[in-house]
Amino acid sequence: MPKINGRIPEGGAGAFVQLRDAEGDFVGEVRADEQGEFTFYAVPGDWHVICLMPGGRRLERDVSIERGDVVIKVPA
Amino acid sequence: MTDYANPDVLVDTDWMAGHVDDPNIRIIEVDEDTEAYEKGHIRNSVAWNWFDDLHAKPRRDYIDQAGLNRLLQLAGVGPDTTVVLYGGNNNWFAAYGFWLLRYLGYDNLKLLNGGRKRWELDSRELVTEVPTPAPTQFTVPNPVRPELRALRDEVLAPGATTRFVDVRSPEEFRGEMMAPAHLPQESAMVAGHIPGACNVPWSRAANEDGTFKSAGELATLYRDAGVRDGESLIAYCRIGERSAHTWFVLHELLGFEKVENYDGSWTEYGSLVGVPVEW
Repeated sequence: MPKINGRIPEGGAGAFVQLRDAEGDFVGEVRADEQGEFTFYAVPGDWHVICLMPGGRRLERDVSIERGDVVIKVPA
Repeated sequence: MTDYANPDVLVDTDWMAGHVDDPNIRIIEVDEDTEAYEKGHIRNSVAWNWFDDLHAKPRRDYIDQAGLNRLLQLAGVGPDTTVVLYGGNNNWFAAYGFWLLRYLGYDNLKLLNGGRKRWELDSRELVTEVPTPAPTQFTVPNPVRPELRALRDEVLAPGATTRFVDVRSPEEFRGEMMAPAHLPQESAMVAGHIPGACNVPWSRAANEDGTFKSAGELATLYRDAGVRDGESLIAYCRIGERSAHTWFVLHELLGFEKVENYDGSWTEYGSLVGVPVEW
């Protein structure tokens, strides 16, 4: 199954990262590691990544998967 | 939180912050990430490993009342103690612990609304010191409540008014994925759902920060999905933790009478030979 390999370059360590589908439904949540990196498994389609951090900081972006793994930064 | 059917089962982070040193409160973390507690936890909390502590290894079943008595005794729980559960990933496993303790007959119980996520988003204190509570001789005062748990035979021969509530993501319900997106995708032998089940993902009952939606929003969510009080509701997911979250919403927050958690869930049903499956 394809993977979304993501990174939050600025202040992303420990962020709560959610993957939501095109209709907005929650599909998974993971904590970004100390480098601000995270991974989701997802089938081809359109997805939305939301990152929540203390202090009300919130980042998000869309991501599309066609067949293989994708590498993204948040924000785009 | 006062509009819920049983508002006393939830506490918010402000309340929790004011009770971390309360000797009549025992805070227990039950987390999906079993290393999270070691990295930092709410002061004076102890940790239960959702698998190692709550399961009767090597079988796939839970500890019995004697096992729960031991856990509560080691946690320093006495007759005047109130247990507050919290955990990561939107309280999935804390809700699972809540449901299991209720099933095993323990009632002095609350859930921290939003769990670890809301606590951390509030930038509240986390510590690494592990408390050493004095063991007690406490025993659970009530009998096991089988009416809260659905087992395989009931799932395979449901009653006329049974409604299955599949609380997984739409992608898992449709058989496109086998597990939540942050987990490796091995699971049951086949994908899909129990025929006739409705799909009300657990997450629709939660806000982005992991707290529960309001009583009015929850009532509307399930009413629109055709899930009604008075039916025999059986919630399921993959291993029973997300469905414990929905069980908590339906049974505790909305006060629905007949709600069971099918903890065998899709990892059991989706591996049974010959049973009907829909995509």
